[in-house]
Amino acid sequence: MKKLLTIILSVLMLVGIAGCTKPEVVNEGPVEITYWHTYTEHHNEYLTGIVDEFNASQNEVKVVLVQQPYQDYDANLLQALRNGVGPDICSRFPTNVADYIDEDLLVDFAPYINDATIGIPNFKENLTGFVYGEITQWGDGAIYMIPNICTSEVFYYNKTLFEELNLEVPKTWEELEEVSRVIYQKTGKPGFGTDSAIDTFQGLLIQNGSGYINAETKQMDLDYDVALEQLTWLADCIKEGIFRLPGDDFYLSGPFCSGAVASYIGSSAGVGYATMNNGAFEVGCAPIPQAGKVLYSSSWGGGFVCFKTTEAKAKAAYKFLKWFTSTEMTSRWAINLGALPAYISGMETAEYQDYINTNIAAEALYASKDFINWLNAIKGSAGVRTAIDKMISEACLNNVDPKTALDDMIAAANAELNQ
Amino acid sequence: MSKFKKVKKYKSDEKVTIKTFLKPTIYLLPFMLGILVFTVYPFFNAVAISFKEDYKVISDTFSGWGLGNYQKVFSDPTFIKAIINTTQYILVVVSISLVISILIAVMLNSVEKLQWLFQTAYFMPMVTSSAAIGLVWRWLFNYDYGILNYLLSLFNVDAINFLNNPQYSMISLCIYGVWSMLPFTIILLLAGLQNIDPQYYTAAKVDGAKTVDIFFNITVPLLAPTIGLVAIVNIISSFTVFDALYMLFGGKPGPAYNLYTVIFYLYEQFYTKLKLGYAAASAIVLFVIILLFTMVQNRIQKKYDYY
Amino acid sequence: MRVKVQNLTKRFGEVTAVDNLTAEFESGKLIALLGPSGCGKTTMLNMLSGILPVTEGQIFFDDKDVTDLTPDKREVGLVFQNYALYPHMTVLENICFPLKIKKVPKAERIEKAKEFAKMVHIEEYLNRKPKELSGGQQQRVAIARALVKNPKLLLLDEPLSNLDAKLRVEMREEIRRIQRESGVTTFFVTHDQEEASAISDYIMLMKLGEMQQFDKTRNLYNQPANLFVADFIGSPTINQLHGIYTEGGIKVDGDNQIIKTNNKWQVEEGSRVVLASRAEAITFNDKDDIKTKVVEYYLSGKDTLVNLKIGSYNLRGYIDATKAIKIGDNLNIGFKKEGVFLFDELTGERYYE
Repeated sequence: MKKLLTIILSVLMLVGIAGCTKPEVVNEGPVEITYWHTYTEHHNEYLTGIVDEFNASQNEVKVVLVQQPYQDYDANLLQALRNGVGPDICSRFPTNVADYIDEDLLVDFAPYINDATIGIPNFKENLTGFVYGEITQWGDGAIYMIPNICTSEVFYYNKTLFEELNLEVPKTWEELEEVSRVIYQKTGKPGFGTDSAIDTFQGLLIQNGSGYINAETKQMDLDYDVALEQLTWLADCIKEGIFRLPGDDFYLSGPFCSGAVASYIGSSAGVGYATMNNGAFEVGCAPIPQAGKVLYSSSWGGGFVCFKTTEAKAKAAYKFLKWFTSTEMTSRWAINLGALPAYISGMETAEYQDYINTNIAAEALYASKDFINWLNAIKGSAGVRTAIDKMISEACLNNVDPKTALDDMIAAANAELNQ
Repeated sequence: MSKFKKVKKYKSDEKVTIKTFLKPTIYLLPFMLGILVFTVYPFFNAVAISFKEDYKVISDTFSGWGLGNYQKVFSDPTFIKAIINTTQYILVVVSISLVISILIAVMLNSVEKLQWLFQTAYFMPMVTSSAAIGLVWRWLFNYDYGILNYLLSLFNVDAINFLNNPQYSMISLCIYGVWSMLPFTIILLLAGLQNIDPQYYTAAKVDGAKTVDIFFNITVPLLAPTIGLVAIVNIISSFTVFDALYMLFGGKPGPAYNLYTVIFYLYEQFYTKLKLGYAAASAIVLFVIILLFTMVQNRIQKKYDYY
Repeated sequence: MRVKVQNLTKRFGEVTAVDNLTAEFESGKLIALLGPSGCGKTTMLNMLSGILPVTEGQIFFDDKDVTDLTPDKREVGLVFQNYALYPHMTVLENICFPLKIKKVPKAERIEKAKEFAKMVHIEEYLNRKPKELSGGQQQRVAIARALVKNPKLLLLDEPLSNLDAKLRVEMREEIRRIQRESGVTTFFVTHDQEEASAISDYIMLMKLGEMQQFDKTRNLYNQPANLFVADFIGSPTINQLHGIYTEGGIKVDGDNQIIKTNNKWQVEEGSRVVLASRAEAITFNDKDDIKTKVVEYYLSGKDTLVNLKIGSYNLRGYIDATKAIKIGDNLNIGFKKEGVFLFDELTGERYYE
């Protein structure tokens, strides 16, 4: 009863307190903008340093940094926005952005970026890979997100074991299957796993030339044969025991470190966890395997959004973001986070190039930079991911025929997109 | 009885003045305000939202009034599945936990010396954070190194992938559900048992009854009011099963999205899909179901009044 | 069934509730276990029923040693002080219960239960729940339930204590009747000597776990074994004059007369004694020469109960109501031979003639 109440209450609190909009402060001092984030510990300290640096560098804009708990961040943010006490800027993923655009909440940065005086020259050209497409996917030339850094999937492997068994790091999925089978036969343990079966499956689709979501028709745009073939392959490998899913470990870094799985695909940001094995073996990192038709590694880059309030605030936010995504800052921030700058100029700095040599994940990420790609994030795409996850679980764990699982997924996904 | 009813109504001798009215009102005000803000208003708001078509959360806009949310919810196979799952869960968990609890309570009732210890022990699950409990249970259920599979291996039973195999995930959820329900159930039953005059047991013994006869002829019938009450309370609380699911399966409703419960559905509609209208409609449906059970509970309580 | 207890002892920790009690109870009789609270009478009853295990000693039913048998194997019927009717069962179900446990076929047990319900006059209430019955009705149900299994022994634990005075008198006659009709050996625990005297064949009077006297009911009144028995049995309470035995008589404390009665006791000169006398043993004849003073008097029918002072003590006697007395009058009394007893003051032992 209590749980029910709590949920109902939070639903209603959110909806409830209407009319309490933030009073507009008009004063002569610097324009204040709030920036919500969820970084902790040294990331938080570093970010605070960056913001202080910015605030000290000029006196027109003052950025107020607010650290938010990671738990229920989405809901808290939503609630705050609903009640008019939300941040001016924060970093979000394209799937979230689709929802905000639906409610017309976001500032379009395009007029600022393209402005002759305050604009960012070469903005599009300077962005890596397909990032520009990702942030402008909602059409009309609007730019709702300003990216700064991105992470992606990388392939972690037990270098010691690979060398022992005389195995090459797989470049293709066929090679991965063979390598995994050898490892399985030799050690009795799965050779490969993936933290996010959804992203891996999406990758398999795109790399094999299939479409994903058609934003115009709001329908799934799959090459059915490719999808069925890839799902069957994935399910077969898992049933054979040469691949595994994270299951109740949630992330494979744990099993990987303890030797329960010899390689896995995980986030480049998780390199600290992937190497936390007390020196039991050497860890290697490489770009993820490819199928060949289309080079692709899914992008986990977010971008800054600015919520609509006043023109002054939007301008102030833009001023800060322009500074924050400048070559020097994006490079520094990426190094601190273990990520890849979203801008080519940021990657090419001497500092970043030095950094790559010290971080295997960053190195793999840098090697993937040209094919870190994005998928359409329209309203309902989060539901599509859930449908894919369900399909993989059904086919790989529940002995459901892959064709049935795929058909169910397409039906569910289309229903999500059509709502 | 009707002629006594008037007498029951309490009338103060004190004259009602502004002062005598204000004083208690001031005492009650914070509480009343709390109820108003946190219960009454949200409830009516939820009802309202459930009838708003195309409701948008952040901008608080909607296209009109109607039953669209309810139509959508009832035509959503996931919601139907959620109701079926919830019902299954309730039937299994409430009945099994009742049987186990009765046996444990009867046994505990006969050992007086260690009761303080047990009574503390029962409360442990109730005062421990559900996140910690979820973590522990995920260890217990683990396929590779979980103690449950170790125990099964002692009986030469193959390891069961409790959490990842959709065929076993409902069983795992129920095991957890039974476990989490035991303390509260045992405490209430123990209180019920302690209300039974031990003389009935003595009388039954003199009448020739053995332990099993006493259990079925005396203990269970005399405990029936408590059993009925606990069953209903547990059924109501089980309708809201969510924590367990969330903890055990890492935020997913079962390994293959096969364990949607009504609350999980509600949660997902709200938190991840932002469909507040659907969330509100499903909340109202759940509210009506729980209301019905509460009415049944009141009936039962009146029926079993032996003394 | 004959009941015999041999050196029966029950201790609860340091407290001895029943102390080394040996007695034999005749079959088919109604025996009252009498005594003040804490005397061990209920403990004794519970040991007979098997609810309480004995500490030492043995219990025999006829010649069978039942000491270690559990209640269900003893074939006893027990009526509790507050009846302990099963609240969730109807009257009929309550009476049937012992038979149900014995797996008697349903039709047979209902028939039998109805028979006993008739015997205790509750056949009209068979479908009621206990809470819908009065105290007296509940007691009858309890007795029927105890009797229905055809016990060899019926045990009643203060069954009348929860009833009002009028009903109590009625019910004790009922119990007497039911016991006679069924002919079952019955033990009846009570702290009310009047109740015990009214219905029992035998009384066992107990005090602090020890048996004081076990005899036919009449004998406890007429021939008390000690001062406690004499004091406990009888209404009004027996008169007690404390004094010194001297010159073949009793010199009551605070008085100079030496009282001589018609009894011939062998008592050592100078012993501290108690002269006990029933009220009806006091005479008010002209030749009586024991001087007393009237303290109080109560009219009761043809007699007047008169409260007299002798030395430091009071005693009561019945005087013809036609005789005019008033408070402060000097009144001479005498003692009959019957109903007058002499006890050692210290031990309470009786001096026999």
